[in-house]
Amino acid sequence: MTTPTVTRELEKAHATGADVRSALQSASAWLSASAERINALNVFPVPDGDTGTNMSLTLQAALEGLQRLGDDEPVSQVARAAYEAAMLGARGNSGVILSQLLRGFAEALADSAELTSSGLAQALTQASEAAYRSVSRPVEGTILTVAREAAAAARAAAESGLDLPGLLEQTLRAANDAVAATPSQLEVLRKAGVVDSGGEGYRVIIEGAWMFSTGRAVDVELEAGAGASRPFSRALVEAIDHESTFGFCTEFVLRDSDVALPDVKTCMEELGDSVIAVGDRDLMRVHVHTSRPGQALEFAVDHGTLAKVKVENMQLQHQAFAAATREASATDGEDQPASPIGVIAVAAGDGFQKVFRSLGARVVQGGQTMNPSVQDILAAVNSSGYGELIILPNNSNIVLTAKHVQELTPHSVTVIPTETAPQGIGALLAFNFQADMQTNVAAMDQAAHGVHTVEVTRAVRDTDVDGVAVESGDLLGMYDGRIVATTASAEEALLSALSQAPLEGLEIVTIYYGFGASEEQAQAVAAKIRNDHPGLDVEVVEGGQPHYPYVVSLE
Amino acid sequence: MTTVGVVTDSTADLQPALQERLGLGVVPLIINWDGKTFRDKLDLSAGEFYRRLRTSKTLPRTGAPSLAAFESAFREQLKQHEAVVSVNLAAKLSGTYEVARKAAESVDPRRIAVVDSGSVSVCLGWLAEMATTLARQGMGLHELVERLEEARGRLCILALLETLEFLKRGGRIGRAAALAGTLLSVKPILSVREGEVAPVERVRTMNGALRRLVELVVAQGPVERLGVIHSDAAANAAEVEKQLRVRYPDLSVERGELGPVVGTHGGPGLVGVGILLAR
Repeated sequence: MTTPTVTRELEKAHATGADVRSALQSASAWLSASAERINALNVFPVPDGDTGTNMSLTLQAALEGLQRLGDDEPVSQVARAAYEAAMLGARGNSGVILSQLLRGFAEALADSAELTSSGLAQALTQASEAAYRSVSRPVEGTILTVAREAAAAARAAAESGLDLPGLLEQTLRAANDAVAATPSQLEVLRKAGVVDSGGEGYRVIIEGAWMFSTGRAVDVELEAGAGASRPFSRALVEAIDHESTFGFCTEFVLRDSDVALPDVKTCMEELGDSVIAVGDRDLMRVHVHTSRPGQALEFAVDHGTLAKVKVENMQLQHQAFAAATREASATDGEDQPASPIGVIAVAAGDGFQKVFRSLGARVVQGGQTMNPSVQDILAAVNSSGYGELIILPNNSNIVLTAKHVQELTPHSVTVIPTETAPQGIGALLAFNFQADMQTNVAAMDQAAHGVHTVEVTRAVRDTDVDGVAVESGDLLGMYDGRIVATTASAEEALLSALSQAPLEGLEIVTIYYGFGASEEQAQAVAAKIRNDHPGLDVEVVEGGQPHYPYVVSLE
Repeated sequence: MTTVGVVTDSTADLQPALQERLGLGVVPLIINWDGKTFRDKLDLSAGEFYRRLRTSKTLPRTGAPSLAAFESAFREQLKQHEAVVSVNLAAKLSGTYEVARKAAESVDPRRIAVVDSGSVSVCLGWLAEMATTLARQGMGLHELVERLEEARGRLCILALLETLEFLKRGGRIGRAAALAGTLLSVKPILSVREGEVAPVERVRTMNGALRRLVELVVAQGPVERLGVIHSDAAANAAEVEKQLRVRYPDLSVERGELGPVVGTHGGPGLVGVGILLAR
């Protein structure tokens, strides 16, 4: 089951736009296959923003952006389209940096119809420079170092006259060495006994491109329909859904098709609009809006094996959406907004989302392990109706994504870099409806800093943190992101972490219970805290957050 | 005898002694509660009112004074003065101003001017006091109205509420509705300016909210006059007063209790600061 795109060898001195696209597809397939392994390179043994998943989803978004291009597009167009789509689809810090690597890559190739060795060396160099520029305080021992070392090797290879496969091989060797060296540059990596996950992700991308250039097949099982193995990005579907006039959103997965992808697209376009189709004959995923979903599915049955099917009546969805919007605006009380400044908060968990909404923020879903894309936040900003907005990312891995939105919107946007939901709520509570942007940002930033956070979660692997032995499955108590307790019960972990906090001067403790904890358990812990510290107000609120039984705010 | 006599309504919170001395006409608003009608401050004392409000299942309803009440107050003043100025509770918050205007028209529109204070409580009290002071200095009606309208723009009340429930049920919440419905327990702070109730901030704890209230007063800029008001929250009001005295050592911070009509809408447990900003 080899696919033609990965076995084609790059024997020419010049690569075409189609070659670059194939190389990116190969890289994306290889990255998808490696995503879980990269995810495991976590510094902390807690469920966290997953680098492998984030980089992989970002690169897939880049490839989705290439769909509308024909086969004869110049390299410049392919690189540009990949960057633009990656920029919107970027998730997590590593995804944003990857999109910036693609930006530098595209800028270097802006006038190139084809790709030469020296062109690629220059592109990798500018990619590295763009990545450095995108980070306010560049740290060595990360993806940045790997990008810089890889680019240096590419330049040397180009100068010595190597062809594209030869250059990519030298680049890959340098990337291998750079990744291996990251623990010697970053103490946290050395302690955790891992290499840098973002750097490894970039190395895998280079490896995937190199494999393509040498005709070495990326594991074919994985490569088959790699683009079809994940759902379409929400942002892409939403962008398309808006414009459609057809009744049913129809999605299916087709295996072993006897019709090629372009022909499937043509057939679907006859039935409706908003067609997206990715993958290949072995496995393809198709999305179409049509008033005749039955005919779309019949086509699939006639030409292959129909796997997954999803049909939704968009009219009903729109009605439900409109009803929900009406309800939301009815609670606003009056037509005019209470302040000319809007707030957007990223939050995971039903309860946390409700708390943020009840405090007047618009919510973008996402958080700890599911980082929203730039597009997700951008859509919330652009549809908010406010000219001035404050974004609360509420997670360190979403801060860069949120900052990226600033460049992409005509609205005036300020990001307050909150790293936990309690910090975000603390910031939101300091919002003054009558103050201007500058005053609010200063007050909210200060308030966020005044909030301390205790988190309780389950260790996802064995490790050693600051001399504390952690076993997978242990309950970890964290105080402001630092692991301070490992115990057998979530409640013990909470109390133990709380004992690390300077309770003097605190007025209120809010316990948000989530996955694996009940309200009764939370109330019992609250009663104990009240008993031990009679001066403290203790409140229990449903957070509904995944992975974390307890998130506690100390104010 | 001064040229101009002054009338106001019972939502003006004046020191009782001062009220006597000023010789003001005060027209009471009306409270309807469980089928009985009370005149604000006259038939129902604040202490008794708030005790009942905290436990009652039914809410009192408030109403503007009758046309006749204003007419007789105006006629009374015209016996001693050539003209009358009536300063009243914000027109955006009550029909009182409209009733006063109609009464002025029926009695003698050329000799009676009605001014919308855009405010309530101590702030309204200050305008009434200012009117009598200027009248005693011999100021004529026209100029007096201009002076009151200038001062109106410098009035502001910042109020910390125990709950938004009373404001909501009484239909006076306005844009401060944005402060309602939070899933965390918070103390809302709102403002009254030019008759508009607007949201300011939310604070998590009462102690924090009292501190914040004082900071928000300071953030308004230079002030000419300050008054702390409360509805059955004497201890919290005393705390705010104490903190304000530290911030404004040269100012005498006044203190008053909200009457039943305003208390019906603010609810019990309110602590507010009336501010007259410096010119």
